[in-house]
Amino acid sequence: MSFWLINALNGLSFAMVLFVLSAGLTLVFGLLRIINMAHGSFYLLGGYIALSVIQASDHFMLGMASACVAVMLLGAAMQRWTLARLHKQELPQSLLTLGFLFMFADLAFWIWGGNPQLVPKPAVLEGAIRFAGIAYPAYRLALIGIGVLVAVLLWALLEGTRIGAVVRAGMDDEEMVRAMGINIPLVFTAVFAFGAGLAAMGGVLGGPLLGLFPGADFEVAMLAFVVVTVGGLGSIRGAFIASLLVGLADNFGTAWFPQLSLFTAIIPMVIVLALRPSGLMGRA
Amino acid sequence: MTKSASRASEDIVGNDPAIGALPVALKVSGLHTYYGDSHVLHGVDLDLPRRSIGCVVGRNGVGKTTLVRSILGLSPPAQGQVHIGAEDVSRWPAHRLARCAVALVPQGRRIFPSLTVLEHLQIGARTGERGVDGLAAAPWTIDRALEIFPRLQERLGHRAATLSGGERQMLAVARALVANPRLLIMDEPTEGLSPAIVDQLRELLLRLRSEGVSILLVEQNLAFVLALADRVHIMDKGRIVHACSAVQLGESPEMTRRYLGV
Repeated sequence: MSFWLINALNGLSFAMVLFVLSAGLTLVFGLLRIINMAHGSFYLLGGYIALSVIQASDHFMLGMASACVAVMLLGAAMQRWTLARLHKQELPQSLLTLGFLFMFADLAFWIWGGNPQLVPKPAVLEGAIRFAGIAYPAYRLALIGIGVLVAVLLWALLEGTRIGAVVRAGMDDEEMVRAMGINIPLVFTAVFAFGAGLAAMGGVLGGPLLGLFPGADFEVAMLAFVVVTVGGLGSIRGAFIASLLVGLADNFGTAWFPQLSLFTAIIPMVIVLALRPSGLMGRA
Repeated sequence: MTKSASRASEDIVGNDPAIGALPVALKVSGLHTYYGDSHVLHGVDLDLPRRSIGCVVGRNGVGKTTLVRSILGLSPPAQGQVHIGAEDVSRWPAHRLARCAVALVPQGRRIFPSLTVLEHLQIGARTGERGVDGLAAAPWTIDRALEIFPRLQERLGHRAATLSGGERQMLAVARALVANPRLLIMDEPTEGLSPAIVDQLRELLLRLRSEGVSILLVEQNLAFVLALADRVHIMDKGRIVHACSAVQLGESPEMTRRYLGV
């Protein structure tokens, strides 16, 4: 019983980090049609920036806020001054983001070094909570709540506001949105920056759990691509469901077949793509 | 929605105050447009007087839709000018042009499947510049547009993906109406519509003209054109080859056979 509960909770908390990370990636892909290879870099840089700020100030929330803002600005600059010049050229855009991935990785190595580091948890979430016969880390429980909250807020933003309607319209037919007088270049920059900020938030949330180290950018980006592909490109709801699938499959898989750990995270993708090539919630 | 979010939304979708006061009436001169290597428009000249309905007719593939796209800045012309009033808008980005009260009802409707009917109207709504250019009538609010199309009122909360073809066309027209355009460009609006809706559309266009809106209509439906047009521009192989009144075109079976194949 406690085996199931603990692994389910581990899977869920990991899934929420994955979701926050992947939500940005799927939004950016859905609207800008960019396969952003550097999305994992935003995760890693976000985590590292938060780490430095928390070490200097001892405030987790301040670390999270500064990481999100800094990475959003970085994303905005990157989109505006480089990617926007390659509008609608998908391969050059992807290659450019791959270049950024390497640059950011070296930059992070240069500033923060090569030793794995854990982002300190907020003080109130240290320790464990006892329930149903187990003692479970409070931070991981909080992650589940935060992930659901982010999902609800994102959903409300996309479905309930005019900005959200503009973004969805842009996903459907970017050109028509332009012909209606909407400043699509500005929307593109804003959404790219927002997606980068979500990735940074993922890095801060995942930092105490998964740690920050050279190569973490690549590892999480691969899982985020799995989530986005399984969920259907551009779909927040799909990303949420796929994060749960991948998070749980990864945890139970690792528990049952430790030697197959990475493989079990990929299994949901293989099955879903075999049955639904455009993903669970993909646009046809 | 928070205050700052609503502020940002105004910045993205709001009117551009600097160019609000352009007089409308369209003048296209010597327009050349390419798609890659293919030369589609070979020097198009066209005038649309204010408060009139000008029609562009011609067979499939003569460049009518490209002309519309070039006027709007969606397929930027390689050569030539597009003037709206006194302003040369030929190099303007499409969204800037749309902000000075130019609206499009595109070929194939191009509604947004994932948006509800109401959301289409909300992101399309613009106060426009009523009062200039003789537009004395009350502005087209979402409510007024829905009065014209009661069918849309019933489906307000539905996603556009679930609408029928006729409803989609009504939505495409309503979306342009609430932008309060002074220049309305329509590309094949009657395509696939039932005769009753075509009649309704004709009434609406006449009403818009009487309110002071200038309308450029690209259309294959000859009866519709003859009933509405103040001037007809016949297009062939990327050029306007002839311009005449609707009456003259109606009286010339030779011309309709030669250029329209009817």
